[in-house]
Amino acid sequence: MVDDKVGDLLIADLEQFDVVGSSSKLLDFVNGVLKSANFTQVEQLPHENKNPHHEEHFDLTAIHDALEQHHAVDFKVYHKFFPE
Amino acid sequence: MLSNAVLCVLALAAVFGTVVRGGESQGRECGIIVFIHVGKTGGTTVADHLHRRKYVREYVPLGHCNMVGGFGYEDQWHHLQEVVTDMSQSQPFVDRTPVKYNKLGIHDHFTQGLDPNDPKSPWWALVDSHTCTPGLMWSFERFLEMKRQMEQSGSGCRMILATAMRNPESRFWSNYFYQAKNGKEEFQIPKGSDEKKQKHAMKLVKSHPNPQSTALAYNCDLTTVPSRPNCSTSAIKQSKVRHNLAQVCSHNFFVTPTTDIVCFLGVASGGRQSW
Repeated sequence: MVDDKVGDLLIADLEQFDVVGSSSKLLDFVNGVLKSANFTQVEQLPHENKNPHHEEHFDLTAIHDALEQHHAVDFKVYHKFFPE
Repeated sequence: MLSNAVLCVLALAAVFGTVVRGGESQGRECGIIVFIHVGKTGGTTVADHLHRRKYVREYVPLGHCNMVGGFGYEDQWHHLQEVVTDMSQSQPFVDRTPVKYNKLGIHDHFTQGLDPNDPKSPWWALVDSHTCTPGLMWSFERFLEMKRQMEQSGSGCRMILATAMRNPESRFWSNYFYQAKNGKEEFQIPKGSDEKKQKHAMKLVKSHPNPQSTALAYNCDLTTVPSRPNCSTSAIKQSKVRHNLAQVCSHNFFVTPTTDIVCFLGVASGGRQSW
């Protein structure tokens, strides 16, 4: 399974990518790829969140804490490129 | 002070619209966009945008599950290698007949520029590396070798490596409700009290640790049947192969399909780590 070492390898690989984007800034990512190929960039994305979320049934703080523990490598890799 | 001769050359280049960069050919702009598509990161929207570009002529569906079988995993890599070879050997790159045409490009309402039939218009291929593709621990060195081959060839063609990630908490909830909606048994949200739902979500957090990194790093196993990646959870757990061990085979990767398979098996058997 993925651990810290794999996380470090992933970061090293991703650092050699031309464009690494975040879905929270999807337009920037798409435009980054388009710019790399010298394509005309876009001003908006027709993206809809197709899945209804009903997070109100959950203790979000407890889930957040569990995610930080069990998805720690995911957070590490993501925050390496998108520090918040 | 620039001499008159240099100014004359620069003026001619500007007139004909060709700018010669260091060591590059003066042919049409060309290359391959490799999009590593991790589920629930907005990748379908991204892929759709890239598909709908008129200069994207060829589509290389690297690792789509429904393509595996008649058009196996290694066949897909060899399709990609064909594009790489064509874009490396022709100097300048002129054209190639796509194995799979990108038919969505005709709907392009965005791109400004030359008509796609103009021989000077850009020529791109798109790789959408999604489900049923082994992750970067398997594939990164292979992509990198192809990128080097193209970009050091002097053809002027480039390979763009791109991927998108999502904040892990946001991705967890997106995946949680997506899988539930699509009927994946393990993700069926129990009816009844919020306590039951909480317990269910918590169990999934723990039983699928680091899902985004897992998808990026491993995604699918190639050990059992090299021509058909196995994307089951148990297969992913077994796929502990360091990507840099693939360098052992890097010089043989593109010789023959048989060599590839043997090489992959060698990496798989020799590269297992007890991390």
